[in-house]
Amino acid sequence: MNCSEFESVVVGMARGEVMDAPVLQPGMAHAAACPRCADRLASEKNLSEVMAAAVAEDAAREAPPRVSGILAGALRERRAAAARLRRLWVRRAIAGAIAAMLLLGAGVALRKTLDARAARVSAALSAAKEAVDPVDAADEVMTDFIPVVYDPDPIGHGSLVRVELPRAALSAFGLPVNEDRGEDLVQADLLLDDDGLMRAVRFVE
Amino acid sequence: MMVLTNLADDELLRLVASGSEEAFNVLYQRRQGPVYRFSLQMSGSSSIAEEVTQEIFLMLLTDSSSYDAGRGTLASYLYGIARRLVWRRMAQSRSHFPLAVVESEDGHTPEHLVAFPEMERDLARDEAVRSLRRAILALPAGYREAVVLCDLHELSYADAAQILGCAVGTVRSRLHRARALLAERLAAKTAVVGRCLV
Repeated sequence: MNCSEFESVVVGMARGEVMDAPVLQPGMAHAAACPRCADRLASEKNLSEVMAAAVAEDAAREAPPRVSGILAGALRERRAAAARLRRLWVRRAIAGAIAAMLLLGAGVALRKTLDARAARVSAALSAAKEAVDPVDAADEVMTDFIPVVYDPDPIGHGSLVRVELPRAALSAFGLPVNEDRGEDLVQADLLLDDDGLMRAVRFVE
Repeated sequence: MMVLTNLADDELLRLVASGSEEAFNVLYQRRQGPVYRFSLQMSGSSSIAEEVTQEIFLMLLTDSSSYDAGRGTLASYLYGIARRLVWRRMAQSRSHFPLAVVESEDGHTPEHLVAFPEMERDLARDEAVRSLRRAILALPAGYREAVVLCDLHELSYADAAQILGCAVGTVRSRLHRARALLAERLAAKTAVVGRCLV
């Protein structure tokens, strides 16, 4: 081994790196024979010793408590943020559940109300038909009674009044009207209850 | 806590991500020392070392997703981040003078200690360590990184190469050159100290 080759292994020798015997032994032999390389090896070994002393001295060095204090504060903040988030989700879940229950209740109530209304209107119209004089009705062509006001109570007693209305009034009840004859009069039966309130109307031809 | 201390870094980090404060504390106790020492040895500034350590662990606490276990160990990852942060901090504070911060002693030798051979030897060693630290801080960046990682933190060439993002051969040659410079400066300093103590 010459000085140049020794230079390539001297750091490894000084650092105590694991080296193959065919490299280490010639290196040691060269250092024994060459004063300059022996000095170089001694210098590297001295550096390794000082380095080891520095490592030992540094081993106890740690981040000051100030750092762990700041991190503990960050942990507390994270914990608080997580708790806030949990509370928010719980509130949202409760609010959602309440809203769902209210919607469900409202839906059921609405359905019941509509069903009841339909039944009452149907009963009111049936009662109105019964109140009409059957003899007169048999001779004329007429529409069904069209309810004018909503009243859940079926009509018990009432009277039928024949009137004449402009043909254009048919359109107010959704019936087709020939606009050319809008001024003509058409007969209608008004179904009045005992209070004189018009409950339904039918058109007669 | 007893169980957590047996867990590997990766497992602890997963627990930290899922909100475990105990896992974070274990991880911090395990890794803060090397991170702090590396930052201190690289910068020579305890304030930079503190800031870097704090920033790294805050980052682990808030977002650990940037660590990919498939690309290396957590220790290497932390060294890599510390390295970037240290250089950034040092670039931001160019006026910082690192040599005075590493050691608070004034460097003067008390005369009543010189007569005792053991203390004299300790003093010489302490002086050598101080000189070494100054010499390391005076090294070019690449050389300094190689010495700190391979000699002061006793990492393998491969680990150091991974942290520095270069080839193993590059680390080896940088370390070789850096040590030659350090040995030279240390020898010169030792000769001066030796003359003073005689």
